[in-house]
Amino acid sequence: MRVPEFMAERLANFKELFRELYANPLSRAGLIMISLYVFMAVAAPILAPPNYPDPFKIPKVYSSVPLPPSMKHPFGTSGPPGYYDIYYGVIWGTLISLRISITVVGLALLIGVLVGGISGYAGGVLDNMLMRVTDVFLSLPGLILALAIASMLERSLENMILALIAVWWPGYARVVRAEVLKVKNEPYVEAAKIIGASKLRILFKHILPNAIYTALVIASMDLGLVVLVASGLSFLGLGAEPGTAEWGVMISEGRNWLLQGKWWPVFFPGVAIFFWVLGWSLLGDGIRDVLDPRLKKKGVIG
Amino acid sequence: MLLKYIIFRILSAIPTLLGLSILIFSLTRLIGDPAAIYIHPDMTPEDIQRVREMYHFNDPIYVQYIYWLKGVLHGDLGYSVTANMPVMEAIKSYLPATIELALYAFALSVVIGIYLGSKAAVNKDKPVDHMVRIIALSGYSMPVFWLALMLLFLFYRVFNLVGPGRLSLAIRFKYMPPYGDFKFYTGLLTIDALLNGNLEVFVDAVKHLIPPVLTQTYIHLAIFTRVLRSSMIEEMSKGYVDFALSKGLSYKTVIREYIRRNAYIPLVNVAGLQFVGLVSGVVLTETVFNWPGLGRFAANAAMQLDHAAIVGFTLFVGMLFVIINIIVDILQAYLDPRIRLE
Repeated sequence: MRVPEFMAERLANFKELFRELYANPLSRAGLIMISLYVFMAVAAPILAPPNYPDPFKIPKVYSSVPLPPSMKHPFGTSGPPGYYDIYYGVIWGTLISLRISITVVGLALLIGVLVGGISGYAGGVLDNMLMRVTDVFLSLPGLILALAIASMLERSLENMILALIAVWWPGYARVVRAEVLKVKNEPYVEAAKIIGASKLRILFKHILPNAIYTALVIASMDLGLVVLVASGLSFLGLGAEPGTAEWGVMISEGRNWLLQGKWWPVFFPGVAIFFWVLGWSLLGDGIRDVLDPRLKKKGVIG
Repeated sequence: MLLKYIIFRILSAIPTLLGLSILIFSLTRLIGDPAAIYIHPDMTPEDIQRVREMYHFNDPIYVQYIYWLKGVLHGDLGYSVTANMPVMEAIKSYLPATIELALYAFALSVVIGIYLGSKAAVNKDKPVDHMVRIIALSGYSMPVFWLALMLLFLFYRVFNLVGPGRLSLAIRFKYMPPYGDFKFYTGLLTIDALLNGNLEVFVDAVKHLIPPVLTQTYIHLAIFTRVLRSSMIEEMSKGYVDFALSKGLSYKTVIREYIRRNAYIPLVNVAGLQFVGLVSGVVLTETVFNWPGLGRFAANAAMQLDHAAIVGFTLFVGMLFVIINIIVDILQAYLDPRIRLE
């Protein structure tokens, strides 16, 4: 049995997929973590009443020093120049993280699938040129390239997302291209050619649907990694504006208080990032194992 | 045969380097006015006009690229406003601090990674293995700047042992020029301190290295552990292992003499990439620890919109990446002759 069909079949059976994910303790842990985050994102208006007019700005709690965790502020507050309620930021930060990772991974995947698909299917000079371009993008560590691009643009969440997409697509393009090369000469593609299907139709209807699974699996793990890199950029002041409920920004605002012994403005947002990345990695690993046991070797946990 | 491969590998890096230069050149054009990266705050409007002429900003874009590339090849990367010196010089002066940090972290993470990875592989699916995997996975998921901040808090506030920076102020004022007569040979403080025969500086430098090196080691440990674990497990399932065992060799000997050698080959590949990762990954760590290296230089440049410095740093890292990749490929071809034939 060919791999793609085999995987498509398993992916189609959601209930089965879910059951198998739940059976493995590690992917179950990932599933629980991510479910909690999704719950936090959906229930954010109930968990932390939104701050109008912009719920993504953290409400201010004026105090000359950060207030330690208490009943009123479960994770404490940040001090000047921030004056923020950490709990609110952690909750609403989930929504921003979700937005960042889905936008970046979604769009990078789209570009990657298009470039990789065209490159693999067309072959020849075009393939060579497109692959040289991905080589160049991959010849820089992701954080550095994102840093360079983001610092050339104006500081905003949108521009940071743009920089991350620029960094992320080449990886997908390579993976998709490799899969397209595998699928390209399958009998059913030949059959489509003989019937007289157009090249575009063959690529989009017959080849790509069978060549994207590996990229999808990688994408599920990247949903976590994107936030890891994004929070690093925000920490350096290249992402969302100060006062935004973004975990990296919150840590960078809390760091000045750390050496005075006020650990909570840094601690809680960091824990939120950690479990976010961990959750997606575990879940992605599990999805990969369920979809195709043969891919097992390359994963996050080994 | 190996020589031929080396020449081939070096030649094949040229397109990548050219592409890299085009990518970075286009970065300098993302900002509104390309002249901005060459402008120094003290310049008069006439000076700025001269800069425009000098860098040919009135010519078509490909001509500009050629002039820019020519400048880069001559070591002209523009002027860094944050460091207040030419970018090339800034990179040279900040590099040693980063190298010192990266070298120790690299050595530690390789040694610990190999130890943990082989421990886990030998005890596959036993509690030791699970422990190692959890350590690796948590290092992989942890935001490096958060870990750095937490360690800084721990070492400075809780243990009261060491603060940010490369040396404590007292030591710096006592021995470092222009106050003292400490001589620099390599730029690595620990080594220079020994060459100077100055134990006080040595101890202080080592103390200051502990938290940032621990941070970097923990983050990079994960990869080495993971790669060694899976490559050892793969090697253990191969035919020659059964053969060696049936020949009567002890399990220990087989692991030490047979499996390890083969399992280390994938490590070379990863090690090269990780070293570049360490040199560039220090951006966040150095910022937290106020470590006067290349990473903090780049982070400051990014925060204060010092475009020339960012471009120079990016180019430097890209070139380092390409060069290390060549070295890794050659090393692997040397270790595994099959690669040369491809």
